[in-house]
Amino acid sequence: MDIEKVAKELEGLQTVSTIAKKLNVSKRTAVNYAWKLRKNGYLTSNGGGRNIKLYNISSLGFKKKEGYSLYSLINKYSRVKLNTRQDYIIHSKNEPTPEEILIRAVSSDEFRLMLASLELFNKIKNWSELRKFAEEYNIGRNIGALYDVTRKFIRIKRMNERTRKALLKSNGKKFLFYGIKSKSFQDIEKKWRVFIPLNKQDMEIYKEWSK
Amino acid sequence: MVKVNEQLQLFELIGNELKEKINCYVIGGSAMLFYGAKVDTKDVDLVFLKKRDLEKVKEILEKISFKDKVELVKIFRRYEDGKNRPIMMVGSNGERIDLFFKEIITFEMSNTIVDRVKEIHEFSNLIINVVSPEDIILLKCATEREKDRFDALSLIEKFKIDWDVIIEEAINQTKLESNLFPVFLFDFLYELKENFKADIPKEILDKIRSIGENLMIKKLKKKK
Repeated sequence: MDIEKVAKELEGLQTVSTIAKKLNVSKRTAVNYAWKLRKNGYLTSNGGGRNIKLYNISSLGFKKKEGYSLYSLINKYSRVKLNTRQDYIIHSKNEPTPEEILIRAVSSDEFRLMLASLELFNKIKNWSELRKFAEEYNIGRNIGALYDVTRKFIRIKRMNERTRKALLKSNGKKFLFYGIKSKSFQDIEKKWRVFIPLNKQDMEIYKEWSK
Repeated sequence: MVKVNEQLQLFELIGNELKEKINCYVIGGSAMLFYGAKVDTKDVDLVFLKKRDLEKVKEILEKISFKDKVELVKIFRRYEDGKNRPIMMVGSNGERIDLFFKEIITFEMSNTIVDRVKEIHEFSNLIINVVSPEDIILLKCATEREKDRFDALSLIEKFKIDWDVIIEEAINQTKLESNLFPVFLFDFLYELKENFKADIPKEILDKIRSIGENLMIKKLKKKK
């Protein structure tokens, strides 16, 4: 069978079993097809080991794109991985830093992106750069509040006092996501004067994911 | 002809010149360049949802020596009907940028098209939204150039087209501006299947034809 046609037929996320079922072949032949698709640049994979191996197949092939994909960068730094429905590509001279990625993700209006980015607090090297970007995007107090919530559940780096004070004085959006408030973190909400779009249960699940 | 890198450089130039963030949608051949489904395009087509944004980009283009081409080239089928004609800007090397406001002749940029955007590219202050392959095919049906048929054919061959999306959007367009859109769409897809042997399921063509026929009957009854 023409490999381009196979890629078109299998477009999307697949496992060995689904490939075998779709092509009506044995699992061993399905693995061979996966190998051939990867060799021709139509397939990338993740998982494996104790988890089921997931194949991402694109009929156009995984050509190297110009620019930096926000989702790929989040997946690079965070243990909570995201599958892309709509990619956001930044065309800039240098690769965006974790500080910039975190701020972009939190201000993106995309809940999944915001949630996955919380792990990036651990990658922050330059707290003043984080503050600078947070102020630029008008979410200084939101970032401070999210930092406090994240620190309650996962181990993250300590924010320096200077940045903390500056963020407390900075601007912020009352709601980060369309009027969503928290029932669990009202003390943090009160301190930072913003509403947090997360509850304790969300963060417990997040903690599990990021293990 | 505009190549991939030239298009990126042009967007970077516009993005750097802009003072504030501007959102627009890239359609046609330029969108295909982003998907890697084409190597060059004759013109770059940008659609704006705010008139102010369109004017700002036009100003920047004039600043970088693009000139407004007043005379419309007859590319668009039924373009005489269009209330809203595109602004055609031509660069010093002959590259052309078409600026549309909300609608592409008789095809309206609906919310569903906006929701289906597959990629967003940020060039400093210029945010380019790349419409989905299904929507590129739908938009190609508004033109009467031979090469647009080849482009649609290439999209059908390269992508796994969701034909239900095409039918839904055709019906959606009848509720907006173009109330006979499924008729034109049937014409276009039928030609692709018959003359170019495109892989379009027969039941899809039958479905679009029956939608088109019903619309024609309704329209004729209204006239009476």
